[in-house]
Amino acid sequence: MNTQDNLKRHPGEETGQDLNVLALVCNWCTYTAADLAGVTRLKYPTQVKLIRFMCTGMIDVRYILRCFLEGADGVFIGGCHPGDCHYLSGNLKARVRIKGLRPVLEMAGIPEQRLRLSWIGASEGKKLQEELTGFTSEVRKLGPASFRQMHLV
Amino acid sequence: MNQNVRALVIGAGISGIRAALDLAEAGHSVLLTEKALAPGGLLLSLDRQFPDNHCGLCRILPGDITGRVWNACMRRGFGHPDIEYLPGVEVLDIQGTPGNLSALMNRRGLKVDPQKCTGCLECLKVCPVSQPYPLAPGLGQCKAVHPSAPHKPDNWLSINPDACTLCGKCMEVCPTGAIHAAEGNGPESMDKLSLAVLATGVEYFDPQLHNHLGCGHWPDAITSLDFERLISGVGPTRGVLRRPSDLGKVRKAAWIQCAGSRNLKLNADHCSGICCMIALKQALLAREKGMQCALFYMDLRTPGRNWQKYLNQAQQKGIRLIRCRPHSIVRDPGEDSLRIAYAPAPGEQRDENFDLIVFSVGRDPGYKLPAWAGQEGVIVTKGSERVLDIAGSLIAASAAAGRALRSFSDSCAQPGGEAYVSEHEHIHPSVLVVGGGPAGLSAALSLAEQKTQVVLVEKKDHLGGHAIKSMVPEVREQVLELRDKVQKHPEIEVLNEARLQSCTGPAGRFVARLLDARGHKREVKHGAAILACGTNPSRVETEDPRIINVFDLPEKLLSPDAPGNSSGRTVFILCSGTRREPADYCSKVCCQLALRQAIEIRRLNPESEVTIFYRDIIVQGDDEQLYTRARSDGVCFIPYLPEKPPVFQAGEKSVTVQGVDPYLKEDLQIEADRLILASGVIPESASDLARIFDIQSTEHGFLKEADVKYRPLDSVRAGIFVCGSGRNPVLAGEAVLEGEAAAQTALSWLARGRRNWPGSFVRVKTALCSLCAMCLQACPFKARYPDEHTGAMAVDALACQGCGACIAVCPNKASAWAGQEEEEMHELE
Amino acid sequence: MHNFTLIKTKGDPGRTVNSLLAGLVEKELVQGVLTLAVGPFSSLPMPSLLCSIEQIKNSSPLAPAAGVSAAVHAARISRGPEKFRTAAVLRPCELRALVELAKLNQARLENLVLISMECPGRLENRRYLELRSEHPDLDVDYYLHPDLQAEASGTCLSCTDFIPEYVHLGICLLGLDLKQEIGISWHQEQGEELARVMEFVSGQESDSRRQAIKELEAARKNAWLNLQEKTAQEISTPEGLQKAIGDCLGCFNCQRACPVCFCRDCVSSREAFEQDPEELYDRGARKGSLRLPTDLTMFHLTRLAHMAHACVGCGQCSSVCPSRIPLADIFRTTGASTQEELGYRPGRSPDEPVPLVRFSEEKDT
Repeated sequence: MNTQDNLKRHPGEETGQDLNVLALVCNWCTYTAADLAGVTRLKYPTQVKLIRFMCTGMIDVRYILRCFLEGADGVFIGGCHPGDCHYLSGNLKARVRIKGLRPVLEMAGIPEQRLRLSWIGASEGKKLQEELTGFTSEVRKLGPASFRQMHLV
Repeated sequence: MNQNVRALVIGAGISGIRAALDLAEAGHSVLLTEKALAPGGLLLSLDRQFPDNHCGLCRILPGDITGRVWNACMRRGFGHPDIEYLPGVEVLDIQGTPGNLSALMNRRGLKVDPQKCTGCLECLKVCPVSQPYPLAPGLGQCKAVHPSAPHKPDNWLSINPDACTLCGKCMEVCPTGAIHAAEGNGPESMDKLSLAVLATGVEYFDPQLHNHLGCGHWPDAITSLDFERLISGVGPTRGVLRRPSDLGKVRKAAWIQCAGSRNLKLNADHCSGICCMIALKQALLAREKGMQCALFYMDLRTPGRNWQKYLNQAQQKGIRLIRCRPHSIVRDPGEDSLRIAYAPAPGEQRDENFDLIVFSVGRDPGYKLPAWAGQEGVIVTKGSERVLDIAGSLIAASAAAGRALRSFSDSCAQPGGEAYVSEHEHIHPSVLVVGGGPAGLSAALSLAEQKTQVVLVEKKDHLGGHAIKSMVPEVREQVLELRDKVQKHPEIEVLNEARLQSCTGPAGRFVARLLDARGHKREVKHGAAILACGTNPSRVETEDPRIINVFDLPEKLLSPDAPGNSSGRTVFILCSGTRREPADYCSKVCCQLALRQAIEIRRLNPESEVTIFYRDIIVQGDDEQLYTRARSDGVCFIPYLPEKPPVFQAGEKSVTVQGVDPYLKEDLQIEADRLILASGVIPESASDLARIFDIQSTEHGFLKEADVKYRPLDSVRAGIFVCGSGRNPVLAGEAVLEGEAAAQTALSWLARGRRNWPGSFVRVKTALCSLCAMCLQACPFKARYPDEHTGAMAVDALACQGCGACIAVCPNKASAWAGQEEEEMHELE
Repeated sequence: MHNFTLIKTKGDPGRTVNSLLAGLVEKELVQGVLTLAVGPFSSLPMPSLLCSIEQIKNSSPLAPAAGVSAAVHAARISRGPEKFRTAAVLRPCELRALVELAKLNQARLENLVLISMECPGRLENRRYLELRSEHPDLDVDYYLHPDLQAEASGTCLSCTDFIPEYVHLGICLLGLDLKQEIGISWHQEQGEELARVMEFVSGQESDSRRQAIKELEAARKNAWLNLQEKTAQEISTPEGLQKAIGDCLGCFNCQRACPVCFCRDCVSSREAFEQDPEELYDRGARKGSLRLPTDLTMFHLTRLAHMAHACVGCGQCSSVCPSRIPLADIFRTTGASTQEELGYRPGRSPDEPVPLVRFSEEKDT
């Protein structure tokens, strides 16, 4: 494990080991966009691990909490644009849930910048790249999350 | 299930895919051919579509597989067990008799084997041929071997057989031997086809060929099809709007409407119908990227329930709408941009520079269906006759699939008989149709002719709706014929003067309760419901007999003997009650009706004067000819602005109508003998129906579909379908088509009851359920319900699409994924 | 307020309320009364279902104690068939919890007559017993002596929602000489009906009452702001939270005592005890050690995520915690911002939908 000082200099930034960014994305839009980004050979940070869900509406807030408690430095949620959800309104449900979750994260000392909700349509491979790159560098500014090494109750 | 039917669907655009899916879901085997390699047709190049400016293509997948298919973007192709997809096949001719057709096709072969191709693209380097890029000819060149579709991986390469010189260089250089340039070419015949659906779509006008306003001469003047590629995230500029000529940034763009449509010089006396919406969408997308946008138009045609709102949105976002036809385009010598010269009003000449000019192209006036399209047994989708939007194409495709099967009903699927899902669940093999207008009649008849029991419920004491009083003899005849057939058909029970009270039960096992004509209570069990309630004319509040609702103008009033008609003056005011709040939608039927009436008045009495005040004359397709005819017949058309509508006052001798002359900008006064108001239609019974069937309705009270583009006739509830004017105002002919399509969609749904259903996505741990009903509220498809037997919230397997919203909302995970424990979801490595 | 009347107390406001409750049963408006009563073998007044007039007349509806939240029991009783109609005397926070439960199908408000009082706060159980040994007439004295009220639980002292909202009959105690009189207010259709049968006569409210309410509001608000600030400062960092919940035993008392936590079997209690040894070793190896029972941070955050929007601020979680974790402070502080974010006030009205399944159809933002 790295010491706090080492982490400040971002060792492993090249190899993608300095940060854990989890991207919970919906199957129909954002995952398809990621696939498209791959097809069109767009690169996004290696720190990002994509986890595919059928719909952002099925993302239980507990999954997000679990991500942070298990040491994620950032959690990115990508879904269809409002009105575009394959299941009509899953993305709107995700939006409300995340709105309600923010104060909980604040109480847990997790800065709100570590959780981002973004709408990325199936043909927006470019936007996926920009969003993930932007989010990763924002998370990098905050440094590694404390829960990563802390022994939790 | 009947595998004897072997259907051929020609063209794998959205229409062909829909028709193929409908046929396959009804239990038939389908061959789907496509000239190109990738399925998707025109939609391959449209990233975003109106009216929500996003995609949603995945939603046309059948409900029973969406939850089980990963990565099911239709742009990457699609699979269905009963559809055989034949890429690179062009159909040259079809002969034979229905039930035994044979097709002559040119199988142009799969040139590059995606299994072997590694996507190294060495072949592109050596290919000596340069051809216009097939998806966007206005945007430069590519090699004869090129990526097949923008969303496909690089190992999906096409070789254009028309451009390829068969030089063989690519085959030499390919490291894996994936290219077989000449293999499998040549004509080939396919026999024993039961039926064929032609769904190739229309050809678009090419302004270059006609040197339309210099298109082709200026690289920065492109067609609307090219623009889609230019703004696409996977287009040549990766979605950054750049000028094709020098890749300079675009700051200001103009759209010029009706390129190749509504143009008598080009012999194009038709309206292509959706170019206005396409241009508005493109301008909105460009506006999002910060561009200044102007749209040159004659009439902005935004018919129906949704599109007016879209137009309002475009205006709010600052898109300039300029009502005139530009007369020339020249390159500004000092600038990089093009200059449009136009005259917004007589004597007023303006020049304006634009970086990019987009021609809104529609159906090529020279486009003709192939000769074999008239062959018996070949059904042509409406989308191959005229340009339709996505929803329109899908509706037309479903209707075509239905027509094809009905032409053939003896060997078709027979929804009667054993229904099967599991021991406890099945779909009742009958349909309740609500509403006896054109849509309801045609739905009922289509179902009955495919051997499905129908109960048709009508509020009034007769069938046919308003259409039996139509001015158009063909429409009247069509509806009367439908009515007769429906009344005589043994599978259809008609309940006139019936009042629906409730509909309960889970999907496929609905029970409707109603009062029949004698006030007796009645229960109707049904597996599907089609809501086709229609609209009513909104009333015109006046006692004055000279002020008449356009829908009430009976034929006798058109005659020369009618009071006040001898050499009289008739004034029409269109949109007098609609296209502004509280009815901010277009009723679609009024314009063509007013045009017909105006023509009739002038025909009966050439002495009479007819003036029409209008905002936009909204007629589509060949109805444009009515407009042309009315103008040439001497009907006077005066446009008005919504903020300054004409006002009228009933005097003793005449009705005074006051408006503004749009060109002279002066007040204008007409003493009319008769004033006809087009106050639009209102969906009077739709919101009641929506409540009874627990589906959504719009702010204006129309029935709301599950998805305005891709599932236009489904409601959010499985087994409940919507069609006709109660959903979205349509003309009678379109209503008939929608009825047929809704019937076909309903039949696909009923057919599920005969298939072995894979079971539910969601499992309920009944002991944990607290009955809090949050799942009930979270489920977008109303697939959750309280089960009295278990004392827990159950899942309706037939309605569930597997989105997981109920699981996410269930606080103690009494609802869980079938086959997956909640704890497993939390295991992160 | 027009629907307000004064009733003479003859020195004991509690008894006056008892007579009123007995009247409801006598007039067959309800079949029973749910209120606090000291049983033959208990020392604390506990929520009890009282059916006999005699028992009702001996109950302690105004006792400043709440051993357990009566909301859960009111909800349970209300789920019966219509022939059992119950008058439930609840604190304002309990009433809010009941309304929340009703939204989730856990209670049927139509089977209840909702009665609540202006609440100066409750005493912690232990403190109640201590004080009662000094003041045998504690249930009356508490309302007469402000210094006794200052002994109320910390949660109550910073509670700003001390006036019941969704109620049929309200017992008014503030700004009145309770030795002389108490006030009764009535609300909604059911309240009007009760007032008619009980022959209440509308009267005027005095300025002194308004003044007293205003003063209490100001004091409470001040205390609440201080508490919020303190909680935000001391707890809302990763270390702060760990420190606060560091001594959690995993007894799940807080979850069981919470009146709005309605699940049959909490997902977290299953999680904490359902791991196999292999998994525990695996997790232990990752950081060198593993605190047992595991996942208690997850438990508390889950509860926050699930319930913060519905937190009615009753303070039961803090009261029952054997490790004295300031759970109520954490919940109320988080709840306040969640509720503000979602534009939601728990317990205000049963018609206000639960926010996590309500979502806006708006396309933008």
